[in-house]
Amino acid sequence: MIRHLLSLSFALVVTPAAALAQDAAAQETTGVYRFEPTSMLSTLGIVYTLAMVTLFLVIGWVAKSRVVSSADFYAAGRSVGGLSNGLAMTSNYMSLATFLGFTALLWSIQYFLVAIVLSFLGGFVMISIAIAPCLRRGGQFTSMQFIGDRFGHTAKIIAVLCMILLAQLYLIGQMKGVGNVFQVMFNWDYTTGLVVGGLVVTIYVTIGGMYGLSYNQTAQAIIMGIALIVPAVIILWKLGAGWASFFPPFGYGNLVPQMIEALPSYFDPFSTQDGALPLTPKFYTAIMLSIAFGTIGLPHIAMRYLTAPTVYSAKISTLWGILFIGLVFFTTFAIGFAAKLYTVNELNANGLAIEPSEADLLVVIMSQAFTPAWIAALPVAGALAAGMSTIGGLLMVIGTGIGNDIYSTVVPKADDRSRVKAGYIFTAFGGIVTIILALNPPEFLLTSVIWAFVVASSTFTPVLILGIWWKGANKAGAIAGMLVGGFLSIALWWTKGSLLGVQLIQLGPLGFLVTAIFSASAAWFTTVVVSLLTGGEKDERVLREVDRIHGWRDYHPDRYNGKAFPLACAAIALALMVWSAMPDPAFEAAAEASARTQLAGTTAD
Amino acid sequence: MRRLYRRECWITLIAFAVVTLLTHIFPVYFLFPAIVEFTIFGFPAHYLMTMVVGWLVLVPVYWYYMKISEQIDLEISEYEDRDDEVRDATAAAATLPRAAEAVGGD
Repeated sequence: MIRHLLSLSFALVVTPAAALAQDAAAQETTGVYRFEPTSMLSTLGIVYTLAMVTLFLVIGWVAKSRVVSSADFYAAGRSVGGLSNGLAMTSNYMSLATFLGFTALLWSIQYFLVAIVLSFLGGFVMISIAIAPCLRRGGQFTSMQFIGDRFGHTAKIIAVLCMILLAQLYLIGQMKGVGNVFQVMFNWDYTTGLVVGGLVVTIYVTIGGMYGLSYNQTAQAIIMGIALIVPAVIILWKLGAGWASFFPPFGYGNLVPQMIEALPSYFDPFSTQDGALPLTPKFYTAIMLSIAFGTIGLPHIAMRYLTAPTVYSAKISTLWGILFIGLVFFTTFAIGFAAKLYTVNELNANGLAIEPSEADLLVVIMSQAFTPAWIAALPVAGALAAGMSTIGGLLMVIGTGIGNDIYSTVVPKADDRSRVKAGYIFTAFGGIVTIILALNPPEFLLTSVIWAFVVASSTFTPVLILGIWWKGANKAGAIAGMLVGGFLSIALWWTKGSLLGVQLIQLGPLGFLVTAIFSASAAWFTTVVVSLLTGGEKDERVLREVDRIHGWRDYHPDRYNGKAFPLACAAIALALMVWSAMPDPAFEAAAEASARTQLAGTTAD
Repeated sequence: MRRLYRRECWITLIAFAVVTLLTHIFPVYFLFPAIVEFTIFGFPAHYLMTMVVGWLVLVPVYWYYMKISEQIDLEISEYEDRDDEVRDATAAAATLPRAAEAVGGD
């Protein structure tokens, strides 16, 4: 069951099971190394978890006293400082998939994961360049609210519906992952683990609002950092990495020759272990459009920038965020590298292979093998902190989207107190609904967390960027763009890339991850073309607002009103759509390889 | 005004492009596959370069963008302040003769 944790990341199609099965076969292993947490590890894990959960609830309770107005509840009074916000951004973005799933994924797709993971970091930085400063000046609480102010109520309602869809895609997997960690590490019943973990987050986010969430996310980032780095240093040191092991992201250079000798393909940029990915420029471009451009559109990520006191402070937070996110990413890679080396050199050499379904537990397996129990239990707490921080961010965006954006549309005369109350109610409602859905989630939701990135890339990103940087973008264009992008991101996934008999995209392995090359491009193209055909934006109030969010107090019709930018966007989008529809033999070959390895994995299971 | 507006757009565009390039260096290895043969500090060059460029180089690059964009924001703010002063002065100048007339009329 723990294999489901991997579904939190984006790679069930490239199963570690298959890769591990190959590994086992290659080494002619005869036995299976099955992870069993020692009683000391479980006990200490429970102690750490209880202490951590108590801390989160206390922080939420203390933060409650600071919530007076809607700006306090939805944006922490715009008072979260640079370092604290940077840490909160880190834990908001780092999910259970990052903490546990990346090491398992590194096992299978090796160097390519390093290449595509930087897309996440790129998208995180692009938000702060392209949209966050303007949203912060605009005084909104969410990107949906900006879409409403810029393009009207209908566009806002569509944006909130898209947000609910993608938040649920993200949330259910995270909730299930938290339940699974409780189940595997502490032998709790899954439902109990899910309900306890889910309720804790729901309570502290609901009572403390964005204040509680921000302080908790700051604490969670620190916990995650300690829980990863301390075991990583010890593991690398014991494997013989020397003094470099004190900086795990680059701490295993000494061990590289051993890895190349044991597994020559590990660092090969043009192949994966099972050959199941079409490593071509087209595939990479498609992934970039999903991940980097999807991140730009994720409302719960953008929301953190809106809690900063100033635009400059938000940028300082981003700078800290880059440092911490990189540190977490590359430390997980160090542990993944160590796990691979340890498995090949020690376990496989002794006729053992790690149980395929436990690849997601590599961080804990390695910690238990190399560190004392009081350190080995840290990653358990770290994994739960990672899951809870992301769940918290998503619940907050649901609460704000419904409690503020929709409620203020339906009840325009609602006073500030009512909007805070609505925030409490809808945040709690979102948490409880998600727990109920995660009790028995539809299978497709579990395998498509990354689909949230495709939906964001195809709905929010074009409308936000064009709405900020082009005055000509209008209501008709934005609505059409979001509808087309939203529809295609769902339909193409459902129909395996074809529409009306035309193969618009070759899905292959990681299928839903590459959908954005067509769906997002179509959204960009539609937004520009429909806006141009319908005469652009005419409302001077809206046009003045575009100038204002860039820092101008006066109005000048020529600013942000050129045709070159939108036309270039439309032309690039059209070219990408055509490229997407062109057949590529590499995809077919990779799909066949993927099918073969999955078959091998199934046989091994 | 126009100079500031253009600078804002260009800085944003360039920063966006540079961040995209730094965090998506992978296609470079298709163009220059020989890089893969080298090692740096024990790591295969392409592996280390991907991490260093996409993370450590990104930090100073973003810091530089942060400084420039803040400078532009300040200049826009100063421009708007000056513009407000000019508008106020113009309004005051337009009001004075009428006030003088009104005083004289009394």
